[in-house]
Amino acid sequence: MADDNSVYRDIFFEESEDNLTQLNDNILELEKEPDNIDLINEIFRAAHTLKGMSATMGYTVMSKLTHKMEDIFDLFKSGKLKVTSDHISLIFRCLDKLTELLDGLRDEEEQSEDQITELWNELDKVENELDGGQTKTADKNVDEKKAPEDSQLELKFETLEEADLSVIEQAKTQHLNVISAAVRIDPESMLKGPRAFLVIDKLDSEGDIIHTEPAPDQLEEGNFDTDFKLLILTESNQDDIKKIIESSSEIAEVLTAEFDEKTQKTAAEEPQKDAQPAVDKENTTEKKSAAPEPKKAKAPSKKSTSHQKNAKNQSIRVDLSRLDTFLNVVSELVVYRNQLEDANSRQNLEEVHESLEQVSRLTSELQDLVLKIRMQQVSVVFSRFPRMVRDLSNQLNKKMTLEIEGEETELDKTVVTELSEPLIHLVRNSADHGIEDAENRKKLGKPEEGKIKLSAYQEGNKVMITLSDDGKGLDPQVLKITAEERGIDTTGMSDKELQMLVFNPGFSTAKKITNISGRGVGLDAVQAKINELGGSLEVDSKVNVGTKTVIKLPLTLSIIQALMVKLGEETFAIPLDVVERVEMIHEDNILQTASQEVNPLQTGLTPVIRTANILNIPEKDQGKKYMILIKGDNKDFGIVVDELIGQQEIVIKKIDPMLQKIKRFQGATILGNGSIALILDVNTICKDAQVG
Amino acid sequence: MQMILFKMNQQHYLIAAGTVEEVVDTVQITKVPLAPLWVKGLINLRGTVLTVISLAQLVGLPESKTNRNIMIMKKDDERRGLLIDEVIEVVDVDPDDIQLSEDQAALYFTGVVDLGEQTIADVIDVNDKIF
Repeated sequence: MADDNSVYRDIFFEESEDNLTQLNDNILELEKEPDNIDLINEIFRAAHTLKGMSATMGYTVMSKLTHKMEDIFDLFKSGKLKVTSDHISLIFRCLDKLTELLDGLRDEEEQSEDQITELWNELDKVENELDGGQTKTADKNVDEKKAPEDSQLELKFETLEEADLSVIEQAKTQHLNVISAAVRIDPESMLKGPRAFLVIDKLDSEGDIIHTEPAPDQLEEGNFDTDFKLLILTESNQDDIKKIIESSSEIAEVLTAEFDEKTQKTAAEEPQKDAQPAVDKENTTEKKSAAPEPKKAKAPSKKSTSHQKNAKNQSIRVDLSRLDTFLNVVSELVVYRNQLEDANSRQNLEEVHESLEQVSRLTSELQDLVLKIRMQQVSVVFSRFPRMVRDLSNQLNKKMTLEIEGEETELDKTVVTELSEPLIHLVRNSADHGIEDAENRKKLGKPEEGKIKLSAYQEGNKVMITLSDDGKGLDPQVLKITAEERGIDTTGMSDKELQMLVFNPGFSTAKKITNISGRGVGLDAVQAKINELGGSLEVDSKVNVGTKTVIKLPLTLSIIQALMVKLGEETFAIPLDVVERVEMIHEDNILQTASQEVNPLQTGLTPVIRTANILNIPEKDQGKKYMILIKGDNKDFGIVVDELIGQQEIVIKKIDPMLQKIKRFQGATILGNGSIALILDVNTICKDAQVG
Repeated sequence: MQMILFKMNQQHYLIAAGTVEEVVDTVQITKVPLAPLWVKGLINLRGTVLTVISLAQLVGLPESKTNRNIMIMKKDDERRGLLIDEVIEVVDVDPDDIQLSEDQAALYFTGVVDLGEQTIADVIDVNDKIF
């Protein structure tokens, strides 16, 4: 690209990504509500922006494909092309291609039109099929432009007005039937106008014709293709009306039905629009967009309102690295505040006391603020799943729906970004291994359509993300057999422990290896990733009822509450959120069993982990010790420390990758006196102790 | 080229100044349990947690009794501390004065420089080892 464009490149990429995400969301929505004109308009706008921007940047390949795609949206918009599942799939493939092109452009790849030829041709075909079958028509006042052989006669009115609706309401109270009729005149007929006139004339004697499409004068002049529609208030029933119409000559097809407001694509427009006859295409589509009843006119689909709201939110984009720097600076400030407080409490300087208190308060506020700024809604990650489940449903030939809840829940940006991969894995797993095919589901008395539910909510300073499905569940016995085949010792394992085995490295129960999941790598990676984020993961599954995976994540990765302890002479931090409670114990309380040391508590025997031994630190030779009860993924552990120091807010600092490999420390933190304490990774310590 | 002359166990060594970001006085080092032997621990360098490596342990020399300085080594965005006895001064060394080491087995010692006044210093290069 030319250099003068480079300034705009970043903006182009950001906005194009946004537009593509929006298109993906909207197209998915469109499949559910193919007649939602608001939605189509929104799609059209996004596609148009995308095209405009790529053309301005000189990315011709991208703009060419977008242009062709926009043509299809135009056909949707004008109602000439019906929204079908095939069309939706084609558009999704275009969006994928556009994303691919965008990624390529970012890497400054040279692009050629070959990359889009296939899709372009397919789009072209869709367009041409439509044009080819269509006879040339006058574009004024003709609603049905489709040729008789490939279109269906429809009973939907395009231009019904509010006044008409109130007449209908009244008629209903007078026990009159409101019948809508659609008539197709033989395409060979030379006398369309007179034929239509005769039909209307005959019907006039049966009741009041309150509306026709096209308008009566246009009908008489034959200014329509082959079809016309009318609404009649009558005492006769729909079959009578049908017979009367059919009694005329040169009538190819007749449809009649009781008029039903809800199924109508009718108008309920602003008054000034009502006053004008709905003649041009623009006006027609606008009228279609409104909800059938006047009262509902101002409430288009929820989705689109929320989109508009988002767009109006006042916000700016900030480079993430600046936010990171900001966070680092604030973290450092917290460290020095702690040092100051420490020094002050030792020397008790009256003069600084007050100011220091203010500094502390402000630092805390600043800290809250920077953490809040870094928060991002999980919808950033969740938004990709509806599309993914749709694709999976097609690929696997299983029926399933995805329900999403609490997508507005917020998490630290870093966590949100890292969360995407493990969640993709779990969703794929649910779709592939969880949900059964329709036949099996029927046999089990379940609805044919499987259900996957993804929800998020905040609980204290944790965010819970739950993925549940109503599939076949994890059968502990099947898992046991597989585990033993793989040489995993399962003696004494509870059902729940057996189910957790799916997160073991190299474990896969899929009989058939599919390209969706089942390569046997992954679930252990999911667990590893969640642990890395300082979270934990739990599975609850019942055979033939379903599986529920709960992921608990910390709200933020940078500043946490911790319990400070001593092992030997060294100070360590334990994240407070894993701590259940602390007990003072005596060496005598620790009992030795064949395989481990335990401590009898009211809740049962709790395995005791001597942290000092694990870390190879000489234990203090004293009878009195503290046991910190840790809530593990599926059972509790007691970890033994020599001394308790207290609770403190700490800033997590990353440690050298070389030291991360030890897998005993989550990071390090700087204490008030400037020295460093390591943060114990208790989850991994407990897990490894259990295995060893 | 500029080199930093430092001392360990009465011996003199030289290290290319370009690889050293700064030299600090030794501060409190927090031990890291289970870490490799040559990892001395962690220090707080103005709010950043840095790993400190013992040069003596790394190159297989006896540990010195005093460790006055830590050289902060830099490679790209990564930084690590190198614990030594004491930095003496920065000297200008003509590359031609470096007598290249013939002993290929001595991985870290790339050569020897005669600084006069009966001082001979080994040229040391550990950047590949610590990063």
